[in-house]
Amino acid sequence: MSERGLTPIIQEGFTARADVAGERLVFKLTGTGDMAAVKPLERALHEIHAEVAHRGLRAVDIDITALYLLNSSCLKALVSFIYAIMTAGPRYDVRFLTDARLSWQTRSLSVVARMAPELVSITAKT
Amino acid sequence: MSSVQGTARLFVSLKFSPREHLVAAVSRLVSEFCGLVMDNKDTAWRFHMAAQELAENVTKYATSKDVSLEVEMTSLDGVNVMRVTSRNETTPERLLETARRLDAIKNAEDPVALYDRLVRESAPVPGISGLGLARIRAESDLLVDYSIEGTELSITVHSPVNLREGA
Repeated sequence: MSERGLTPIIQEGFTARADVAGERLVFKLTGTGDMAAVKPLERALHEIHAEVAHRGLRAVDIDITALYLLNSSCLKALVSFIYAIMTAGPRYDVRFLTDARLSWQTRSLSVVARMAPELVSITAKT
Repeated sequence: MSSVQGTARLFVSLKFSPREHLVAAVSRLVSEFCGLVMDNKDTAWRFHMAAQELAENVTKYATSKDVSLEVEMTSLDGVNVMRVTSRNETTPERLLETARRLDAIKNAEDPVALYDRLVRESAPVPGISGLGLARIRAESDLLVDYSIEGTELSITVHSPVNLREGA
């Protein structure tokens, strides 16, 4: 996506790609966030944190509207990502985009929002 | 067929090698079954999530070459109860640690507060989440029980469910 580049994740059952839109980086996850997705997701979130710092972006949108499962290890990867923003900086906002018809998405991510309400928000798209 | 908890409408036991690529297939079977018989998609998802977490747990921590996931639907006095049970053998150290965690999860007056605390504690620790069992109780509202026989750990999640008409 840039001269530095963030490699998209493309594997059976799970894909993820990042794109910059203005001052935001949009990270879209698709498919099933299961055991096979954990390591690539951890790597991608690490790269995103570095890319946001490099570009001086103000926010990250993590779009999970096309995700059909998110296991606890993938959730933990998101928790660690937020923890890195809270402790190491730079600080920027993280907005999760969920599908309002899939109520589990907002429910699953609410634990991340409760951990860092000043940084994290959840927007359910109808 | 009848069980202690009532008449079994369905009982399926899936025995499999604790391998990562089989977990998704096993949890999908549970999901598809729940989607077929339950009248509420969100309830079906809660059991899918629980089955996924249980299947991942047995795959990560089993010391035996086979593990199992059982799905049981029983009916008693018009109340239908769905149960998903994982069984695996593991080390004595792991049994102790899991029993300690499960006691805390089972007896938590506020499962969400417990889950929040475990998430905060795990945040600085890289790698394994250790959050799956707490998540089941906090996020799905399913009840969690467990038993240990020798080196075998059985974890059951269960809840009354409403079935589709004709299911």
